Amino acid sequence: MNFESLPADEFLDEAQELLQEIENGLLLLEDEPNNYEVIQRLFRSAHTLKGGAAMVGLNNLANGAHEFEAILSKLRSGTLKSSPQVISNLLEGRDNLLSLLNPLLSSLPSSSSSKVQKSSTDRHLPEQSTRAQTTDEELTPLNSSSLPQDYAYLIHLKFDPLCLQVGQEPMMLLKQLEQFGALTMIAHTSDFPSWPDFDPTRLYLWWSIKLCSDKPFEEVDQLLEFYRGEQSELLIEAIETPAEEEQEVQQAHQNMLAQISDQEAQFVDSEPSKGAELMETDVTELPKPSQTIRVPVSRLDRLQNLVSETVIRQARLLRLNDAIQATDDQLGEQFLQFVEDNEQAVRELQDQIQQVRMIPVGTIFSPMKRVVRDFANRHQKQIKLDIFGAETELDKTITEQIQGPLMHLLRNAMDHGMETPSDRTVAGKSSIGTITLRASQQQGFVIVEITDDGRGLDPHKILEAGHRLGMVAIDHQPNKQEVLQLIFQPGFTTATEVSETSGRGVGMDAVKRDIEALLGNIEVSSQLGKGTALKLKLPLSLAIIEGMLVRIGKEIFVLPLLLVTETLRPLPNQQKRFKTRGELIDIRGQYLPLVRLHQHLKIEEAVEKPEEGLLIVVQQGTQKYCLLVDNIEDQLPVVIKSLEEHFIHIPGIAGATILGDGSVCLILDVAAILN
Amino acid sequence: MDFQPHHVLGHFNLLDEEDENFDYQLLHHNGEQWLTFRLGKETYGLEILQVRELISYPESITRVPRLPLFLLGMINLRGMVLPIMDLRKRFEMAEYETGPFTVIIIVQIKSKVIGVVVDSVVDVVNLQQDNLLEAPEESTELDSKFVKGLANLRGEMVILLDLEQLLAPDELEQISMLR
Repeated sequence: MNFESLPADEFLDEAQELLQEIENGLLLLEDEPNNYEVIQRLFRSAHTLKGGAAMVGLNNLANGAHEFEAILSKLRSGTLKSSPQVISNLLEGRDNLLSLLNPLLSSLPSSSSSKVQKSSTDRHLPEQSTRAQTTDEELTPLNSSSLPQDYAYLIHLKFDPLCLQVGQEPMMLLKQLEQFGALTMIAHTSDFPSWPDFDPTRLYLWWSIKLCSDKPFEEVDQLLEFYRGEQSELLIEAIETPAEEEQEVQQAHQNMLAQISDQEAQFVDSEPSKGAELMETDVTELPKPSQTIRVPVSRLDRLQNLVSETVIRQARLLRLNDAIQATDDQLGEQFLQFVEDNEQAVRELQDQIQQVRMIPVGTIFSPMKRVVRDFANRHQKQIKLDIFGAETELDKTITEQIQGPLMHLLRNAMDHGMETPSDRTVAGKSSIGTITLRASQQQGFVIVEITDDGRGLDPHKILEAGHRLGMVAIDHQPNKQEVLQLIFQPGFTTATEVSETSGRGVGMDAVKRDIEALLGNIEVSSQLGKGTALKLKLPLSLAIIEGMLVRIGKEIFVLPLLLVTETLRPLPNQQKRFKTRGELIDIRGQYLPLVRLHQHLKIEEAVEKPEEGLLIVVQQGTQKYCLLVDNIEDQLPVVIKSLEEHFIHIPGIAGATILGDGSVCLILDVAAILN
Repeated sequence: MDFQPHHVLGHFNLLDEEDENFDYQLLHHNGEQWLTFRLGKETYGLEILQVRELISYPESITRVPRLPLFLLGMINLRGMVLPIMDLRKRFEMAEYETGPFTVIIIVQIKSKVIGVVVDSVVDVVNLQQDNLLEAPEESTELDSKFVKGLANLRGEMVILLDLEQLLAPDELEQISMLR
C-alpha cells in the first residue's frame, strides 16, 4: 500500500467527511425510515467512499465500503426494511470503516482486514439478505413483469458534455427514471475520444433506455425537461409494444435516432452490456468540477496574522495623519483621504478573512446526535436532541475549542438533567426528554445555548453542598443566582459519594475556564423541575475582538466589549458599603459589587472616587460587576497577541495588543480578576 | 512583517567592521562565538547562536501588573510582543540610568524570544578551549546558577552566562508565583 502522495491525504479528509455524512444520514433514516432521498444520499456517500478508497489503493476500505453499499442497495430496492436494528448494525459498520481509516490518519498503514467490518454489518441481517449484492447487478434489466408497465417509452439521453462542470448529475436522472418503472439501459461509449484527448470533466457517455412504466408521457417528459439544455439531447418517444430484448430496444432506438440525425445512429455501441457496466463505475467517479478549494488551516492562520498586522498599521497611519496635518494642511487633507479609503479596504479585508475562517457550528452539533442516541439507548432514557441554527458560522478554531466543553454540557444534561421516562411521566412531563442546541448570532457575538427540560438544578442542594465544602460561609444566604454560580467553582459537587459518572467535582469549572480562555462567557439558569439552560457567549474571531480602551492612572488597558453591558458615572448616593459584602453600587435598585481595578493592577495615582471616574458594568456569568476606571479612551477592533508565546501566562491578563502608536497594551482577563 | 528567525550576523549593526580594532580573525575563526557586553564593571558573554538582534532602548515599555521589578514589561518588536528583562535588576546590581549605549539584546531560547537590557555591547569574540578558566567558587557577585563558565580574553575575565537558566521553567514558575 503506497500512501504518501498528496491526493491520498485529500482522500482521508474526504473519507472522514463522507463517514460523517453517512452517520448523519443513518440517524436521519432512523427517524424517517421511508425517506428514499436519504437512502439515495447514503448510497452515494458509500459509493464515493468506495471509489476513492479503491483509487488510492485502500482495498480494505474499498471492500468494506462495498459491503456497506450492498446493504444500502437492499434498503434502496426495498428488499430490506430499515429498522432500528438495521440502523444500529449499519452505524456499527460505519464505525468499523472509520476504524480502518483512523490508523491512516496518524499516517500508519493499516493492517486490519475488512473482515471485521464485513462480519459486523452482516451479522444481524435477515438471512435471506446477507448475500452481498454488487452494484452491477442492479443495472441488469429488472424483472419487468413484476412492475406496472402500462406504457413503454424509448428514451435517448445525451447530456451536455460539459454538464458535470456545472454540477449537473446525470446519475440523478437515471435514478429518478428507475423509480418510474423497469428500465433497460444501454450506455454508449462511442463518443469517447482517444486517451490523449480524454478530459475527465467531460461526459462522453450517452444512453438508450427502454422504460416500462405506469406514468403518463407528460410526467416522464417533464422529468427530462428539467435536464434539458442547449447542448443536450434528451428525447422520449412512446412505443407501442414493449420490446423485451435488448437488441430490439437498440433497433427501435436506432430507428428513432435515424429520424433525428442520420449520423448519430452509426455510433451506437455494438457491445451494450459492457457499456452498461461502464455507466455505474465510471460516471460517478469522474471528478466533479468543484467550486471550492481545500486550504490548510495553517495557511489561513498566516493570512490572518498578515491581516492583523495591516489592521495595526492602519491605526498607525491614522496617528501619522495628525502629525502631517499639523505641518501641512493641504498634504494632510490628501493623506487623510487616502487613510480613510485604506481604512475601508482594511475593514473589508478583515471581514473577508474572518468569513473565510468561519465554519457552521453544525459541524460540531451533528456528531452529538449520535452521542445522544447511544447514551439514551445505554441508559434506558428517552432523549430527543433538537438542533437550531446549525448554519450559524463561527471561527474554525473557536468552533473546535468549544466542542469539548459543549460535549461536557451535553453529557451533564443527559446524565444529571434528564429523568428516566417513568419519572418524567410521574412528574407530568412527556416521557421523551428534549435537549435543545441552539446557535445564533447577536451583535457581533455568537450565542450557543444548550437547554434541557429535565429536573433542573436544586438551589437548596447546591447551597447545602456549598456550605459543606466550605465555599459559602454557613451564615451567608446568597441569592439564587449566586447559588447557581457555585457549580462553576473548582471542586464543587453535590454528590456526597463519588460514583462512576459524577461526584469527582471536575467539570463545570473546566468548562468555564475553556470558554473564558476564548474571551467568552457562560451563564447558567435553571428552574427546579422544569430544566436547565446554559448560554455561551463567544466572540466571532479569536484574532481580532472589539475592545474598549480604558485608562487607569497613566496606563491604558483593553476590556473585551463582549463583557460590557453599560457604562456610567455614579452619583455619590449610589454607593453603599456593607460589612459582609463590601462596596456596592446601586444601579436602578440592583446592588452590584464595586471592583477597584487600580487596586487589582497595583496602579498608583488612579481615580479613587467612583463619582470622579467611570464605572464599566460587566457581565460575568449571571452576575454583574462595576469596574472602576478613570476614563474610556476609545472603542476599536484590537488584534489579540498572546503573552505566552514569548513569555508566560500572567493571571488577570488575557493577552496584549498593539495600539496605533506602536505601543503594547494589555487586554484584561476580567473573569480571572473577579475570581 | 517578518516572523522568520533572522540571520543572526545580519543584525549586528552596532558592530562596525571598519573599526580598526575589529578582529576579523576572531570573527571568522572556527569555534564558539560569543557576544560580549558590559554590565556594571564586569564583562559578560552570551552564546551568539542565541542572539537574534540588538535594538536600542525603546520609547515605551508597557508595564505588566504584579510582575517582579526586573521584568520591565512588554515591547512591540515588529508585531511581536516580547518581555523585557533588566539584567542589572535581575542580578541585583546597582541601578543605572539608561543612556545612549544602553542596548536591548533580543535573545531566543527555544521557542521564546525575550529582550535583556544591558549597559553596552562590547564585541563578538571567538573563544577557544584554552580561553576557558576554571570557575572558582564565588568568583562574582552573581548567582552561580546563571554562570556557565569563565573565560580569559586578552587578560580580561568574561563571565559566560547560561541564558536558558533565565527562562528555565522553574524560574518562570517562580515569576508567576511572585505576583
